[in-house]
Amino acid sequence: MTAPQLLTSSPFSGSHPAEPQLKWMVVLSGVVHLVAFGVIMGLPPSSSRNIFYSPTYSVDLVGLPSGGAPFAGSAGKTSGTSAAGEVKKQHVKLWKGPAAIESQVKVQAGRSHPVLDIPAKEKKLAPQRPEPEAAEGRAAGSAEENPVAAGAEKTSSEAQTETREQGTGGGVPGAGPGGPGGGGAAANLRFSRYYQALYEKIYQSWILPDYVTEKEGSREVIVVIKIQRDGKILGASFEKASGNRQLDASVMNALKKADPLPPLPDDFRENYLEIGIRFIPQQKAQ
Amino acid sequence: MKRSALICILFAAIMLITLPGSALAKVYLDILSPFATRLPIAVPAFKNTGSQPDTENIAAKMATVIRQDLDLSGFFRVLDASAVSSDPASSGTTLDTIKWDSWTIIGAEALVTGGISVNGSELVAELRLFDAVQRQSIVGKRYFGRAEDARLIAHKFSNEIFKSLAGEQSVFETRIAFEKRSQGTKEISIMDFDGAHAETITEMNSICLSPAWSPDGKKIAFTSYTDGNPDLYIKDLASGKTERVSHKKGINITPAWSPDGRRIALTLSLKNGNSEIYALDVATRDLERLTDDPANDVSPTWSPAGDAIAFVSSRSGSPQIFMLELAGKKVRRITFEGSYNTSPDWSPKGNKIVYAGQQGGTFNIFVINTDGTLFQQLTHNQGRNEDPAWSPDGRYITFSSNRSGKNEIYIMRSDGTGQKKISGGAGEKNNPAWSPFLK
Repeated sequence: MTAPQLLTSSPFSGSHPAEPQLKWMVVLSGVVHLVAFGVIMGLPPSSSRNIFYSPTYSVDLVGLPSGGAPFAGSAGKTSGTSAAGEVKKQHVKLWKGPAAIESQVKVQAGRSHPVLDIPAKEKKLAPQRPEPEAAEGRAAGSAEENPVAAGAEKTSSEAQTETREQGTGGGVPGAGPGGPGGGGAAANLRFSRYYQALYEKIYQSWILPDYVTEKEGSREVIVVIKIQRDGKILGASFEKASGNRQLDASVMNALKKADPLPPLPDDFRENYLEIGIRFIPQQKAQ
Repeated sequence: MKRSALICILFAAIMLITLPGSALAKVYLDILSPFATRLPIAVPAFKNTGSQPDTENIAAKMATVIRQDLDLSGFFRVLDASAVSSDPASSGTTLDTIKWDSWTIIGAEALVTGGISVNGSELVAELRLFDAVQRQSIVGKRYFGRAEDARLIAHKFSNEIFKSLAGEQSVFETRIAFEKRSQGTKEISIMDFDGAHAETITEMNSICLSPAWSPDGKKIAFTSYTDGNPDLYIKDLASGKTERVSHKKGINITPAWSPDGRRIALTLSLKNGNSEIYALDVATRDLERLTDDPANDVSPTWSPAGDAIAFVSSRSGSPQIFMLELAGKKVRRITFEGSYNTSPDWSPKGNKIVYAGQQGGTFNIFVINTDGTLFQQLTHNQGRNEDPAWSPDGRYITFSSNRSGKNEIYIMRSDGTGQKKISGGAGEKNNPAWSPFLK
């Protein structure tokens, strides 16, 4: 029964009993075509973001779903923050230090044992003694002169949505290096070189004295940065701050000193590149 | 037909789900921190904000003291500020008057500025620390003192810098006590940790040995032969009074204050000249015997918890470092390398003991973990190196060495780097003891 029916339902047969099915097929065909069209038309802008580049020997691209478990170990950690939708607040002002002298100290040393009997008194500076460099200077300075710190505020919301989506999207298995339309190995290599250049510039700018690394809890800091075509950092925000003020400050200082980064590769079609950088402090062996 | 339609839909759905998903996957770049980088810090000459012209000398001296402190700490790379601001008057000392670009060019991550004014004998110093990359203020203090306290104020601000950045105080306001020989006598002297302000604190006109700081930094115990016998004395630094606290027949030597300051461990030879370690109650003068062995036991040092002492004993034949748990009276040998190990000092963090060991014809400084692991040599035959003692933060070690021709006091980082002579002037100097943090 089914075979003749199918035969008769063929659009070329033109027989009446098959008409409802034909309509359905036309609708289905339309939907599929629309979907396919939509996918093809919708993709070009994001297709370049679909390209993944294999890491060079000294650069670890943690987000890459390389064959095995994608971002497994660290994904737990990072998406711990992102799944909860809580990208840690970026510290625009890294130091709570005052613009003005914060306290006064009276130093008086005895003759015979100077250090031992100092009645060192410290008192908060009375507010009615304003310092020349009080509030206005700082407010203006931090917003305009600190692209890294100030930009952090701008990108924070975007970073937040991105990481959330990444959290739900999950490791995207199967999206190997050099995805569709990726331009193949040459582009791949160019991007690897670009990451290598990024790595070197930021690494060389990162100063982290031992008094920071030896502190408990100085594990890692993840910062998401947005790089403009010419290499300028448009914004940086903490995806995961360490909670150690010195470590967080060292990372932001490294980015600010490394700014501008190398210009994006020519075949990168986006206006900017967003990339996560995981700063991992290494402790000196005791 | 239905099946193929389903497959079509499924395919489309998969396309829809995977493609945007993969487009959102973010790339992460891992950067491991470089090892042991030092913070580049600039300390340009401080400005004379007053009217007295000779203030420039004081301002220059204060900046120099801070530079030396930071350099010595081992955590900072002090930049050559003269390369930038040939005219210190051109760059300001406050957030909005500093010419930031010139500091960015030389790679400064931190900047210290100072404005000094002297009025008669009164000195006012406004000292500030900035994050030179973010261009933010970290700490600022205004100090009032006498002109001759300029060094002290500089040290105080060095401490402030370290506290702001590392979250703990450093040794910049500490002092070191030591034995100083002059014209047939040996007296106890103290100096700042950088060698400045050296002064003799005893006038016993005899041989004085082994200074030991009380945990509050207000007293120094030492041995003196002033009455013919090596007795134990305590000098109160505030009042200047000296008191004899142990006058047993035989020796009363090598004192070490317990961490609570209530007892002093010392070496006595009450029976047949055999030296043993005792604990002397400072208030009641009661004695408790801690070691009991036919061999000689000397030079006690307390664990920071006060529950154990390390000492030197020849019970295994040659002098070696041993440890005694006070509760269970259990003795354990710590050192096995070398044939003559002496002068132990227990680290403030509790995990290490520094000591002097004979090696070839000379002595060197060694460090060993209290569990006997990780034996490390810190000096390498630059003269005879002896009498090591920890700084209160456990980051540095002071010791005596004759590498310059006569015995002087040196300091170094706890890994042996940055060895530096800090004492000077006439007379041999020995047996340094680093003060606790002084308030």
